[in-house]
Amino acid sequence: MASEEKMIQLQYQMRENQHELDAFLKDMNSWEDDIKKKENELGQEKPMEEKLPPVRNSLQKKKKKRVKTKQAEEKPKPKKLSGYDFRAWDKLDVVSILLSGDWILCVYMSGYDFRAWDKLDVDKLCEEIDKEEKKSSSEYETDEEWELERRKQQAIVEKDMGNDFFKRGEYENAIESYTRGLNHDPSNPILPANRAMALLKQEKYAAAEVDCITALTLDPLYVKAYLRLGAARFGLRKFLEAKDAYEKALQLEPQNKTAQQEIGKIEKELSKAQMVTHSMGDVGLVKPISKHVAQRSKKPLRRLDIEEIGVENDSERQTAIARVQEGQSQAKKRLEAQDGASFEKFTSQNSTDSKKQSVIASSSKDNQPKAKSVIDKSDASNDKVETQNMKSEHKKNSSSMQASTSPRPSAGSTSPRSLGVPTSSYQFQADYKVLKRDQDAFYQYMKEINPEHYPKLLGQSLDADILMQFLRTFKEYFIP
Amino acid sequence: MEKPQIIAHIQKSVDYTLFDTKWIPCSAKFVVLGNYARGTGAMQIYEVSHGEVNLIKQAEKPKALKCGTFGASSLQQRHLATGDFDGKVQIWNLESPEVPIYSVKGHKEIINAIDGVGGLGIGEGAPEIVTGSRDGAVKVWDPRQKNDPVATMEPGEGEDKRDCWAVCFGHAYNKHDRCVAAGYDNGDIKLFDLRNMSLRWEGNIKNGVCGLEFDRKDISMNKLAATSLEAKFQVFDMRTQHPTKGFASVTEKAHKSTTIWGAKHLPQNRDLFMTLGGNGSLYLWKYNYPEKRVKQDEDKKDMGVAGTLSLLQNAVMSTQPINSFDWSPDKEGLCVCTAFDQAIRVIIVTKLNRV
Repeated sequence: MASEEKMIQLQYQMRENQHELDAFLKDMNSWEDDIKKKENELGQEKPMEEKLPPVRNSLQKKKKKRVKTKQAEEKPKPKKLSGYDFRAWDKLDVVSILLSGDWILCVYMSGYDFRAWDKLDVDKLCEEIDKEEKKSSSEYETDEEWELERRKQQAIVEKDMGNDFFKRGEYENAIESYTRGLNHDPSNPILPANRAMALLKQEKYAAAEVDCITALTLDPLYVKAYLRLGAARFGLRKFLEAKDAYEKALQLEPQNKTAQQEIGKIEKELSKAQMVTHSMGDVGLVKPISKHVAQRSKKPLRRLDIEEIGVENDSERQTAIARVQEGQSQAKKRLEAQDGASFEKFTSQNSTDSKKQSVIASSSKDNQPKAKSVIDKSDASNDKVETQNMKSEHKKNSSSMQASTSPRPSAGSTSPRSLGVPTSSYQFQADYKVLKRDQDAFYQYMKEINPEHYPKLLGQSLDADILMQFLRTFKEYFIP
Repeated sequence: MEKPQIIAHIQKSVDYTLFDTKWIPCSAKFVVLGNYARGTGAMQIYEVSHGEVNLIKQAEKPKALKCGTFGASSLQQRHLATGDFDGKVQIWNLESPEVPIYSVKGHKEIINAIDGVGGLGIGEGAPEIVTGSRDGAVKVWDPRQKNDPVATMEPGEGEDKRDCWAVCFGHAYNKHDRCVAAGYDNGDIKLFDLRNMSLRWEGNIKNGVCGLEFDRKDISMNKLAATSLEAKFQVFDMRTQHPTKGFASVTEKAHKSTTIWGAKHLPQNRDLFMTLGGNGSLYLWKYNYPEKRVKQDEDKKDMGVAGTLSLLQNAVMSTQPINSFDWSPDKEGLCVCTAFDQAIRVIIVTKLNRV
């Protein structure tokens, strides 16, 4: 009885489960369609511009910096100013302290200091502080935003200081103030634009141009920056570009008088410049004159000696020539030695000598790039040092190059010992390239290497070619 | 009667080793990652459609792909971040998976685990990816910063490096707070606080930690499930940290003395989770909170009280270990898992809403 009941229950449950699954699958099919629709919509939506928090460690850096700057700032502040010290009070920039956000830490003003109080426009300040407070409590929730805002304020303070300096004509100080401001807030276009103005006053046009461009990248609608850019370019005598800048300013502000005047000025300059280029255009150029044979001069042609001027003194030249001749004799010796070497292949004495000499010769060449052209000349035509014709020199030059380079590879392959025992994988690779054609030489070369150094020399660069070369050499020379 | 049922809905065999699978958010599609026999990486996207799975897209990558996450990408973009056998962290736009949109050689050796937070509307704050590697390091990446991790947690010089097998994010309930839990092959679990950049807690569960997961990433730490070799897993109550005893936990044995590869919490109900067994079985658990989650010890210090676990259902899916599993975030009860028998299974769990 009990088992029967159980069976029925089980059956019921199975049916129930099946029912449940069917319902699920049905539901899922409709869900599949729904989600597809949703996905398509998602694809069509425009990406939302989300405000994300800054990248983590950049944030950390900032934090650290902030701690430091705060410490630096706080140090001088707690100093209580004496009420009698009026000069100190004068210097104190109350507004900037109040604006910098640390105003709670502010100064103990003593009632004796009337001047300081006079200077302070209390109402305005209170307003400003209120504003700051509101901002700080509502918008700037996090430390980072606070910090950013504080820096911006500091930048503005610096800007105002810079403007004051500028008005007084202290351009150097003004530039410094603006630069400090820029460090605080690089996103403010007014700072570079104002610095550009100060730079213009100092006639530092190139730097002014750069600053204007910076300002314009930050704010492309900044008319004053265009005007200053125009002025800077005018100063640099880039008239067309200057005109371009003024025209842009005019586009933004069609009634701008300065821009109109300046464009007029530039056009004048341009027309002047054109006239100058017309009249002066051909100065310094000698154009060939073709005359009919009959009209040509009947005088006999005269050979002109071309002298090099302003290259070196006569005495220097003499020593250079001497050196060249010395090197040349060495080169001759080397050639002779190489000839000998190619006959007696493995007489090590001779070949090492020749190697040394060639090293000397080449180094002497490398050390005297001034005298190089002279070397080449003399190399080809031993007696003549000076040449009269450029063309012939060129020809000789190339032929001498061939003459000097061609014997080298043969010297390399015939005197393998001269390559020495390699100490690095790189050196081995280089030597291998030279030696791979010449099995004998390679054997000689290999014999010198301590097998213990193979791993170091071959290391990562062991490829099939090198391995085959090794095996072949082992087979040919080592196995009796 | 009202027990949930675990039903294998669709099975699909592939010709490569499977390592990880993830549902693509807001779709009926999932992506699988793996390793071809020739050592290259496999990335395939399938769509579930009326009782079948259809291959939609596939790409072969130079190195085997071990793990992936969508966690650091917005719902709009749904970029997949992966870790490969070579230690590379890469982010792919699945619309055009030929070239990664972000790639950095983050580790010297294989990346075993990856997790993301800050995207998909899950977790406050910056989008970040955490990776754990055999080289012993746990690194946090921000997709907006190329080349360098934003945080690195690795053993100091001289200390021996343990293979990091599992990482996960949690505690990301506001812009600043965020934690990373990392599990190592010697059973160590370390909880790093990213806000203070400090080690918040350290524990050991005796066997290598195969899987770690917070029940939710975007709430103040609530529960952490840690699974291990030798058929044991623990659930920690992370709400109350005792100064000396740490977190209270409950331990359970399951899956017939095989490795438990991971625990995955149901996105629609954080007290339910599935454990993946080395014997190819899936166990569905429910965590029951105790009456009082906090009590006071002799010194009047708060300490947590662990709850209990009840097994709701289990089912054997394969003869080989199930190594990855993912609940669909959009459809309750729909899940996909991969096993070492080179098969992908779409699974349905019914009656979850009535538990």
